[in-house]
Amino acid sequence: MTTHARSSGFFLILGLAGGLLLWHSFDPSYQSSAGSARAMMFFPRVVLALWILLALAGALEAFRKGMEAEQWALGRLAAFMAIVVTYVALIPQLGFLIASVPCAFLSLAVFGFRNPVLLPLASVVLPVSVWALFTYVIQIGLPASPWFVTI
Amino acid sequence: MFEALGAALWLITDPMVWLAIVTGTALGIVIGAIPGLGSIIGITICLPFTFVMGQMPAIALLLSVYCGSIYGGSIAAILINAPGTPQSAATVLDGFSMTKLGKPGHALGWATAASVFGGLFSCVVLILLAPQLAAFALNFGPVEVFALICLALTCIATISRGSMIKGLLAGAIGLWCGAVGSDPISGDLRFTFGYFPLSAGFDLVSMVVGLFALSEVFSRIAGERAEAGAVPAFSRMTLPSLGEWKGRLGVLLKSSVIGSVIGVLPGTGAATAAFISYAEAKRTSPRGDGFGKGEPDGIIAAESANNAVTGGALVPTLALGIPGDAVTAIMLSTLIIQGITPGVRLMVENPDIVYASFIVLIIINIAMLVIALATIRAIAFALKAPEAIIFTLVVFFCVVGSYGVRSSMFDVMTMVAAGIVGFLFRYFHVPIAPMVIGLVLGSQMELSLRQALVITDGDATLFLTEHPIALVLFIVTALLLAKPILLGLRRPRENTA
Repeated sequence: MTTHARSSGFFLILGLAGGLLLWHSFDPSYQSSAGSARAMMFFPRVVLALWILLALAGALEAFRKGMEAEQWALGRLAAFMAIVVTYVALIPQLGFLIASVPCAFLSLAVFGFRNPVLLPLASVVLPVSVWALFTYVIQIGLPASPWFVTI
Repeated sequence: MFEALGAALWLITDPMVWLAIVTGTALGIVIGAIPGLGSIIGITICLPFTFVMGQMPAIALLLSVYCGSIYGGSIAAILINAPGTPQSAATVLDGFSMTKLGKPGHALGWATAASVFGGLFSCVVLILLAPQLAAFALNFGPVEVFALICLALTCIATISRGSMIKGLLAGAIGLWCGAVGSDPISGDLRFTFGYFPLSAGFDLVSMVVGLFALSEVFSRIAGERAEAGAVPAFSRMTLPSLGEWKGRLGVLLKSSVIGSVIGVLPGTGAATAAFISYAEAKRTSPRGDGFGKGEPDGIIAAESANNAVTGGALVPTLALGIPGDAVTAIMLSTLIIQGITPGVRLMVENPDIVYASFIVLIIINIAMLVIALATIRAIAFALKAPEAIIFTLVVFFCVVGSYGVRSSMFDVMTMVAAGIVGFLFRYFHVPIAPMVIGLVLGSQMELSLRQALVITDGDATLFLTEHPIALVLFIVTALLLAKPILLGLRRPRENTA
């Protein structure tokens, strides 16, 4: 796919999202007895109409001008995003500290930090330091695992 | 005023304020010095610490990190030819050239002295200008507030990186995000799709942390990584002597003025100020030929201007409650968490906080000099920290920062989603700052618009005919919007001439 098409496609998807939200704003549950200008959906509808118009203008502009092609390592990015999403999904089940150790290990590895001694060490030291700082010094309760009281 | 000043002085006697200043400035300098981090990430990773602080220590911490990080950027620029922050890109030109000439300690001395002067100069501008602007803003009713927010959003969208259309689109998305949850007037729920956690809306901190900090990590992993050069050995930082300043005070003063003025304008930023000031100094300095070859005037121009932006940027923030850039938007969001409502009445309702912020800003600029002198070698050592460790830590701080506000995993998920959106925005060159500013100002904009429509009985034409201040603000907004169209019309005519 060319950069022109990719960039226009992004703005068209944004426009479509705005359109769906605008359509949703006419849901009967939002009907109000107040005058149209003072109704609770008045402002969001104005904003969404603007959103759609600007997204379409953005798509047109992107199609005409295109976008500078940049070299992005999208495979590495996708792997890292998957790590972060899985990590966040695991926090409620495993607790912040236990979930953070494998996340640190994988993140460091994806970033190219692959020293066989330092990698496992840093994977433990970094999460424990952050957890200890916030639990004991700042005293912000972080999600705990079902097996331990604070960890 | 004197009563407020007394209350402000009392506020800063809190030892926590002083601790926040010292640690915040030191942390800000380190964060600014590490290429790829910068002011916004510095402030976002400090947000969780503010949750357990009082109002003034929290503000002092963020101001310290802000000022420290802008100065810190110059250290990497001078020592390793990689500006720690975009604001210090102009400092590389002469700073690194001086390092190559074997004078890194002296280059750092020039940068530090100029930064401190620029920062203090902008404090004076802030102290003189903000109360005047705030007093004028007392004439503002809902119509004027609505017009002002329209102008601020347009200004930011126009000046932000990328096209105006993309900037305005980001602003509109931010405004919609601010409308999710309960209606500010009736309290009825909107756009929650029956999902209960959305009834309180998107958490501002989670959005900001995701859009800026997490998306930066995504960008770094996807993009090319900067290869930092070796840190040169140097024994200490040497400040310039009084004799060396001879003939350079004009550059220092003019650059500080440029930085302060540009700082007041929403959306411009310290990087713009540094380059404009550098170009102006090169044009007018008698030593202009030496620019780019290690000329101290180049360092003075860039560093005094970018640090002078800090005070200038706080003028609209503190006087009108309107953030001029992403950093001040994050600061305003912290005020909201601390129970202070931003807006045109910020200075009237919280004069002690505003005056204490002025005093804290002066102290920070002086502390910056002392901390830099004491810790410069340790900071140079921090430049060697592996990027993998830094960004893994940033991910953890993003999670803790978004979780800490309401102890909600939904906020953490919001942060991750915002991070992905932020990355897509970066990828497609859509500026992120207008979205955050739309998010911060969205509910205020809606409230003022609907109040204004109630006052005028639904007749929006009265906004223009009966409110002269609003009329002026709307005209400026319209001119800003029309500018690219007018320029586009002029260009073909020039080409055919």
